[in-house]
Amino acid sequence: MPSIDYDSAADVTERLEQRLVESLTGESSVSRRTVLGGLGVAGGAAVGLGSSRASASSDHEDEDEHGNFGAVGEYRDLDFDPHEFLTAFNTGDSGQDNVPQQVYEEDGRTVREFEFTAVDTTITIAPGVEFQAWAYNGQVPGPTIRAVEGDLFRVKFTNLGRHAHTIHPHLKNLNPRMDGIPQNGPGVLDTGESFTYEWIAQPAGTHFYHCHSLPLKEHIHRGLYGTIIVDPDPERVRENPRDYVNYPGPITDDLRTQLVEEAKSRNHEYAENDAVNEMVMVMNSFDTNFDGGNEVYAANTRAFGYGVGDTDGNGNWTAGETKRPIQIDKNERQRVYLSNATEFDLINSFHTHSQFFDYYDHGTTLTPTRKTVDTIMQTQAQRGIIEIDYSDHEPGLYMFHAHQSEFAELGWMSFFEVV
Amino acid sequence: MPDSHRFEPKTATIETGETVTWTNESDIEHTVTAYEDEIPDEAAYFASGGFESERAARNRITEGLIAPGEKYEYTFDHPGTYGYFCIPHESSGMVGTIQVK
Repeated sequence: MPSIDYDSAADVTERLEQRLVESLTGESSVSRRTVLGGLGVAGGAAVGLGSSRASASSDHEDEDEHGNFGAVGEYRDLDFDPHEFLTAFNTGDSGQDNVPQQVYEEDGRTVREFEFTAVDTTITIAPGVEFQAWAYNGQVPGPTIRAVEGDLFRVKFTNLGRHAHTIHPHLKNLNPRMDGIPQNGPGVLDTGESFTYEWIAQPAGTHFYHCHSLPLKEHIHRGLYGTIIVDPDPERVRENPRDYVNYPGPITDDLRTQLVEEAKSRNHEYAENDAVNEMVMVMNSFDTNFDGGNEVYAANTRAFGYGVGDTDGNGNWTAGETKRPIQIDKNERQRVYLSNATEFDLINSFHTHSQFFDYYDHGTTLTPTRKTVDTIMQTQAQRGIIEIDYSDHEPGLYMFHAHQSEFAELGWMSFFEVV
Repeated sequence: MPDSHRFEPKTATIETGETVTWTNESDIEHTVTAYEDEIPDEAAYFASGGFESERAARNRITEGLIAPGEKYEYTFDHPGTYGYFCIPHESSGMVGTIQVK
């Protein structure tokens, strides 16, 4: 089935979305913002004993319900658009406004410096459904940071949130002080504390970072995770091609050239990289009632965020609506940096309809570790690169989703719109 | 520290033209940041740090922080209901309302 009718796709997305929201809120339509979480409904029971005192010239106070604003099904989250997140790479040179950053040379090395803050923020995971998250720079997933192999990541981290946090990188890090765990270096950072992490960007690949505070499962599922991309250095690939293949045979000149070309296509500083449409997806999930199991699943936080919303059928989506498929140019090579942040469930997966792709586990090789597959699975913190070619497909909608059917129907169901 | 994450009082009622002063009586930093979609249409945006939009305030969190013992004040010139929050502790329930009569 090369494409399906836009209206019926929109109907199915709508129905599933509605069912999900109803199951979470017990309401058939979301008439007010519904805040879910273990700390209670915001505006309900007062949390704590007071500190920032509003010394207003008033003589009465009433505990009125905060949050009865917003239309049915509205996303009030100003700062997170799953479509913007897909292609938001922070390189030090350029990136998101909420990630202060710079790039400079130091001791013969390129330093890519980022400022990270941890905050307790409220995010929208389905229309009208909010989740009380802990987040790096106020977003879930956290910002995607990107460097070239051999560069230095310098992450100036300040914890402003209520709980103690760290940043633990899944990189080949040679200094135990920089590992971002409670037992090493500065340990956990309490509210108001800062630490500058420094990690050499190695090995080339797609990697993961997360908070390593205890209880780990809570700090991860609340939203403290993100993607690190380390672009291969084509010159290093030319010198050490064997580091980039899981293949024991001879390295011919042809193979060496092919690997160098592949490295250029992966390296954001090379023109060859511009020809590839690159996307970051983090498979995540939310335990909205804090019972140790997930109620909502997604790629990049928003349940059905890449589903089918309102359209005229010609690829023109309703302005301002974040619910729409990922539109891709069939003549462009597609690359997804995929990782799995899902807590509680043992694995997650990525499945494409009517399509096979090449998979590079951890992205550390320049030849695929799984060739011509339509489904791969990842355990938590596993990640990899997916390369997809739609050039011979007819235009239309092509679904991709977790092939845990349960996850798909609880939000992790998405579409590419090939044009 | 559960006692460091709320506005007290959570809802304050004042007359048009009056000034509200927030004093940070805790030992950690907070912000006072209006929800852009929860203030009257004709009212100007307000936030500690002097930001002109919620997005700017969220993007540059550290510039809006009110240190322990410090104050932030704002004068409300239009009647209506104003929702606001602390950026670092929003999901810990640190939200408040000003009613301007």
